[in-house]
Amino acid sequence: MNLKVGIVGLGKMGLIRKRVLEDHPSADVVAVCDPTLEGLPSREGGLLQTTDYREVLDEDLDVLFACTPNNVTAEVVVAGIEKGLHIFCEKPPGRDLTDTRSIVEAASNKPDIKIKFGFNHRYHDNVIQAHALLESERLGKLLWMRGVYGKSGGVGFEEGWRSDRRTAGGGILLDQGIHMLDLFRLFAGEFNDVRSMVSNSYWPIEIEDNAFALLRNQEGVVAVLHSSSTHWKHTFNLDLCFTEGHLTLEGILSSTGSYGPEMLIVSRRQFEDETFALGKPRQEVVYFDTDRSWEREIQEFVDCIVHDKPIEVGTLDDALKTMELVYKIYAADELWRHASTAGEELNRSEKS
Amino acid sequence: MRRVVIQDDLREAQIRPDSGFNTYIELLERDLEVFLADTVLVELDVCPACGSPDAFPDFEKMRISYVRCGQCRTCYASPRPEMEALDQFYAESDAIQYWNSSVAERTASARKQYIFSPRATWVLETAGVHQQEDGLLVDFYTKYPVYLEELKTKGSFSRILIRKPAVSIDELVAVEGFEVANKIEEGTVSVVAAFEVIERLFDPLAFMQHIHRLLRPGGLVFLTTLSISGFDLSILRENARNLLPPTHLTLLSYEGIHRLIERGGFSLVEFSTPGQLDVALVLDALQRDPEIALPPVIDSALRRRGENVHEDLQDFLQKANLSSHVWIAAQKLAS
Ligand SMILES: [Zn+2]
Repeated sequence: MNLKVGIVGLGKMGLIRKRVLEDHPSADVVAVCDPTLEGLPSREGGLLQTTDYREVLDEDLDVLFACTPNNVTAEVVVAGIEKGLHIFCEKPPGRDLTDTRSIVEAASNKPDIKIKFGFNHRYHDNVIQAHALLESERLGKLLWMRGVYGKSGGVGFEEGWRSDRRTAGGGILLDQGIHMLDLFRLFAGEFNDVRSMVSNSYWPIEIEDNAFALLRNQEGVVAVLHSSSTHWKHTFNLDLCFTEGHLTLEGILSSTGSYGPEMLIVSRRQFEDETFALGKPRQEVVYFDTDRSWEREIQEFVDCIVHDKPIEVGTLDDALKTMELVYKIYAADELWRHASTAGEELNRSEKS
Repeated sequence: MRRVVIQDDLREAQIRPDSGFNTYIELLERDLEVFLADTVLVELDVCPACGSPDAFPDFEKMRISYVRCGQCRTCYASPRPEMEALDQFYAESDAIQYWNSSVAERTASARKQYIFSPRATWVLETAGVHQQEDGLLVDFYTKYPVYLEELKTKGSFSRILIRKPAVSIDELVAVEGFEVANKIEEGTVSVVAAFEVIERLFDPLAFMQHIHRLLRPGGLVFLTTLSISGFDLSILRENARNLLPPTHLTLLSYEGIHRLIERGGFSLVEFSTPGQLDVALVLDALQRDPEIALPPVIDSALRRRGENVHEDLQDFLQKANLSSHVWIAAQKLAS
């Protein structure tokens, strides 16, 4: 029996998920919802289309995909959990920690359902291969990381829901930088020391368009993040420096190709051998030409449901810890702490 | 699918020193004359890569005729000696003995640095990504224990076996300190490595099918070979000094490699051409024979531009899979 899936939200992400699910042999999309769909509700070829997510939840479903703007994510996900559905939720897990906490609480009453969050970058080839290299310890011990993830807001950027504090909760760090933080956590675990400067430098919006963070974990691994929506040249770049070598993840495949091509650059420390030019080691550039990340992500999720295995990537715990890191970065900048609700958010979270 | 570009500072003389290489070619020509005098050659009905019967004459090198496949553009020797005769040639050739005992020895350190260590790292890391690093590895006929040593010390394979490439013949060659396989149970192998093997076989497809039977589902095969689609070989053809029969019987094209992998029941996980010598080899050939015709833009780049342009061109060739030195990793499809 195939899994019956409902999708709430058919924006860019919802449409990608729908396409991958429709191609999946073990899943059927039976209901979709989006406020912009017209002339609804309708039921054509067994597919319910509606503008009200509660009608999706009234269907006979196994799985709910929440591909919604941040302000309704928690509400939709909690309603799905209460119905006992398995949940796939896009990142970020809500606008703020209050939203994420409400999901955690609802889930604590339903230990049997699977909940996965769309931290999709972990399924990209350069990330998978970099992680395998780190795990193999062939390059030695991780020393530091430096990640830059930047995009260029375009025409109308300031009018989109992502630029509205009430709808989005946060700016570029919460929207895009969160992926880099997720990768930092993948490679180095949890960070206990967090410093930052968060700014709104160009766009006429209430939320940040740039965030600079300096993080350190218990073992002393330092990570530097720059997340930006004034990066006129789309950029994804993550350097990992090890005791025996260096990795650069350059570019990430996307539908527009504007962050690509996707590469993993591997170099090994060679300064003991003086036949090499110091600082210009032999280098291998690995190019990846196809983006299988969306298929892999859905495959893992379906697999976990069908075979009742625990979710490994994008767990509820990942979602909460990464969200906490986002808000620690907001709060670590004194000026930004006062200009936003980040401080209150963290306090509330620590009390609960 | 992945492809790799390698930036390094390899020079041809480091792995093929002029004096040694010239002696090798002289010996090889002599060996080949004797060999061809009493060896029956077999005409191929179809392209060894794609199976197409469509072929036309291409060139002759050291008395061996090469034809070109009209479909996939693979260049292959036909008629060619059968595997048994080839095995005998490899075992008895003075040229090959000279190479192994003299040249390989003298260039051992450069070969380790530029060829064998990178190959070992490539196998280990790719096997790691595909969760095949802990099982049985079979290496087909490596002459180079250095690389096997690296696999052993840096890897976690449960066993490493070596085996002759001939599918039909079970006579085996020992490499000191490594186990030689008499019989390998089908469906038990995690990784097969066959470096510079496929081009010297009578029947490459039979070899790929043999590997397919040995591997367990999800198992990996690593191959390196010379491709006729590469820059230096496609320009120099029979004038390429490093194109030598009978070692190079099948010069697979880019398309031919894809077809052969597919026909063998594999799916490609990597197609790279991390060669560093194409431009240098053509420059070297131009020195020896300035009359070699080149397309005007290549002629300008090679003869009228400096080293930086040569390096950039070599980088581009790697990036566009247009170097003649090919690395392939493929995975056995679950049947
Ligand atoms: Zn062909």
